[in-house]
Amino acid sequence: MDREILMQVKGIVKEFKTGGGIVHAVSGVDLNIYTGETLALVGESGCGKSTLGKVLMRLIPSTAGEILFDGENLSGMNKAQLREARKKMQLIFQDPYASLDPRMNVGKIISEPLRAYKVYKNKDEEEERVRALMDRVGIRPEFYNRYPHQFSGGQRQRVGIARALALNPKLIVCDEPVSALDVSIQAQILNLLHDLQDEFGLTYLFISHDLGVVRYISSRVCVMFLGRVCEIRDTETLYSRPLHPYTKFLLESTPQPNPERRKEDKELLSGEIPSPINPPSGCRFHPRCPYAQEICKQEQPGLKPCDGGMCACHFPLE
Amino acid sequence: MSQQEKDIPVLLHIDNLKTVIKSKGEKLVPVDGVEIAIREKETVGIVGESGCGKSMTAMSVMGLLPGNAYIEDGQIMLKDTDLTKLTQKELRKVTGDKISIIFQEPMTSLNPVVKVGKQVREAILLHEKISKGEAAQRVINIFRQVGIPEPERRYHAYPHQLSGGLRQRVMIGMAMVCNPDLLIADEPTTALDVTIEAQILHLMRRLQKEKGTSILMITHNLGVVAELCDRVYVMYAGKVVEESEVYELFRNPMHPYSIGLLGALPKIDSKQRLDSIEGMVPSLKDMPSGCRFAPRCPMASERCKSEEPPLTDMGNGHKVRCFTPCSKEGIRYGS
Repeated sequence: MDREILMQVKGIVKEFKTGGGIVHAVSGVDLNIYTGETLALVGESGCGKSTLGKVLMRLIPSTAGEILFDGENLSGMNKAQLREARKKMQLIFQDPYASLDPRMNVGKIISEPLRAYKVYKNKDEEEERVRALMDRVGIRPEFYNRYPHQFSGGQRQRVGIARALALNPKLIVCDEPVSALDVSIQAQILNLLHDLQDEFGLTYLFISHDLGVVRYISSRVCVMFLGRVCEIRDTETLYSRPLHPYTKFLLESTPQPNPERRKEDKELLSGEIPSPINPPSGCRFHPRCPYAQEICKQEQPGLKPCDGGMCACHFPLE
Repeated sequence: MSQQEKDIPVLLHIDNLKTVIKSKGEKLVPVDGVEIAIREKETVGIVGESGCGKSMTAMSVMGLLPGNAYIEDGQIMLKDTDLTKLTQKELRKVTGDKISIIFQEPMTSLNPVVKVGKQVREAILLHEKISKGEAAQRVINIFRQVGIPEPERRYHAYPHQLSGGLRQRVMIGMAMVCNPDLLIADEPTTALDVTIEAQILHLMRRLQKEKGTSILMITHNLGVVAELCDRVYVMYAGKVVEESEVYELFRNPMHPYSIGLLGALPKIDSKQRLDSIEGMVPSLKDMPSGCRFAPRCPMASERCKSEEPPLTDMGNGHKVRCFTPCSKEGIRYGS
């Protein structure tokens, strides 16, 4: 199937200098994001998924690598060019409490991008657009003049979504958008994101640590471990036949809401996540991998085509 | 419930517990008539969303309520002792010996300027008359039991030098070192990564088997309940709305809230559209009359809005607080 590439990511490296040494947050990531898909970035804390999200939006510069977005090279852009490109990409954050200015009413919050880009010359048109957006995401338009503290966490996340939609973006990066919400509210927001995608032809990069949520929302999944990609494959095949041992353990570790599946002797991943300041040699997963061989300690496995996707492992699972 | 299970003595019986908070002259009731029983060697879960009163219930048992909160009514019987009748000092003695608690974020429960080994050693010395050297040896043994690698070295580590998973192991070690009858675990794995969470759940299950400790697991995560618990209480807005053996609850939930909650949960083996419970949890300041779930319930009738349903036994210890208990198939949520 020929799919249109919206964003092409080549060899992204992001390092942070700290007092304790250099943090290798992202160490050479290649991936494509196709138009209309939801690509999930999953992994545990410190795997570099949020850093990668920020680098792809050019909120922080990369140490090395190239990002092509909608036919243009983001990496080489100056400020004015970047400002234009940013119209087409928006962010939704995890914490709906921290990401809205408490001193602005929600009408102002949602219209801020419209004002920043001077989309409407006429105030009434702008307000009409904001009210339509509010209605679409499930906030009553008569709450236009209310302030964030007057809303619950779920409603605030809806405000954040309306703001992200205001400029009709092509790509929305969702960074753990439902992690702070209770299950019943989480379902409302996930269903909303799902419907908005169909309606507006949006492309999502969905960053999450929750494999249940990822299964529900995504069409493809990129599993990361310590700054590198383990595998990128279609959601269905990845969940039914994980190729990378780390993916397999992530899936098995996730507590499932079904006691019939309870396995008291399930195989667990031992050890902890290694430090990104001093990452292991070869395959970064090898110290925790029960299948690791000599070559895994010495040679970094490249990302190779495998079972309809890509996998970086010397000994992918059958 | 089989006859055999009924014969196992009850260790902790929370009976008609009502805990209130005084706030700006207002009286709020986060725990309103809760009844929970934990038998010996049993793992019991309390599950619910934020504000359902699950943590306040645990804090009531431990005597760790915030200054403006107190128990207004009810009993908390630990075997033959009513914990609500004890002075703070007496309660501390009883809970210290018989009940331990672990919290979500071990960093805030450990003293940052004292080595972790010493902190656990102090906990032992508080309860037992043994020498410092013996206590230190006990600490190293318990660290080994809870799977802390190089326990002799880790004894001398400060909390910030340990990862989140290791810190939670230290907390579990500290909780288990005096062989409590009951371990209360308040969201013990919520702050941890999933591969570490699996390790901690496995550890708790193992310790429970080896030592026969009863566990009260407070969690929002139905996956954790399904993995670990024998019986479950589902709480909503300060009330127990459903109580059941764990397999039965997941197979055959009967309260519309439990059914909705299970349907709203994304699962790793299905892409089915999520059920969506309309609206949100009511505020403590504005509790609906009648059934507290009625404003969000697709099955609610006029009666539900005015009259509070009692907790009714549907057989085999499966209890539901609903006038019209349902089945998964008999209820339709929007999406």
